[in-house]
Amino acid sequence: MNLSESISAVLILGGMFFFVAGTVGLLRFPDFFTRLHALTKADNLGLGLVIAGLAVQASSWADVTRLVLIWLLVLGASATLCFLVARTALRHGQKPWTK
Amino acid sequence: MSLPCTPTDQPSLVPRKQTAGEALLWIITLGLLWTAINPGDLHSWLVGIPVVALASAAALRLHSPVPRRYSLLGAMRLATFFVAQSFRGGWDVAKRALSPAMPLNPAMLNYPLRLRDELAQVLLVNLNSLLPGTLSADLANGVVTIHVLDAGPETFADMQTLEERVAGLFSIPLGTEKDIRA
Repeated sequence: MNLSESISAVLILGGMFFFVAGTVGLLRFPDFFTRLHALTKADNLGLGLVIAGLAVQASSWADVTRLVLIWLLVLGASATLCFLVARTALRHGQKPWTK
Repeated sequence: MSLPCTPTDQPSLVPRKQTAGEALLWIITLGLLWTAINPGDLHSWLVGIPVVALASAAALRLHSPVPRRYSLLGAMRLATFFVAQSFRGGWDVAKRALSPAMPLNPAMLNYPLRLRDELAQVLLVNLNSLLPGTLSADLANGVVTIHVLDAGPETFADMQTLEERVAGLFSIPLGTEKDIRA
């Protein structure tokens, strides 16, 4: 493995770690809202790291731009959806879990 | 860096007249965005044409007519803060999820915004969900309802910094909480 392949592997493995952690949170966390935290935050970082890992290997700047664009679009979509899902749940009387 | 700005706290609920030029601008911009993601793929327009049309219509309908000034320095400061906080936020939630004890002390809190500009508020609400431990659950009358993973005295500190950074992007001054409630 050359240097760029190694960097790319570290970043992508790091990204996978956060996807797995987010999924564990989704399964273990006690209620609707805490699960949303796990999904949005861990996946945002996980995807960012995977995209960074792929960008290191990209053959052109156009590809890098495209990857970053995809990350930004997913980020915008997931933040907006997270808010809409949380608001709908709250307004329909979903009670947050408390200690 | 911050210049005086027209007050932008008037809700823009009245549908305004749209010009054909504005519509064309959205169609071209979003069309270019589609091409950037699917370069040289003619078949993709089967989905692309309806998507660009719908997105342009939504943009025209939702876009508020308030003139805004963006600060490049403000954008860079916000981006830096956002990336750093994304790492902290992802790490924080991963640690909680993987820890056997699973430390959680959630609460639903109200945060009265000092930002009054609608676009700035929406941006803040979206970015907030990616900060460590906070998730926006509602926005009404300048108050964000926030779900926090670990309620404590430090809960709003990041939120305040985020609000300042978002205000910096738009070069707008922050009001006080009193102004909003008045």
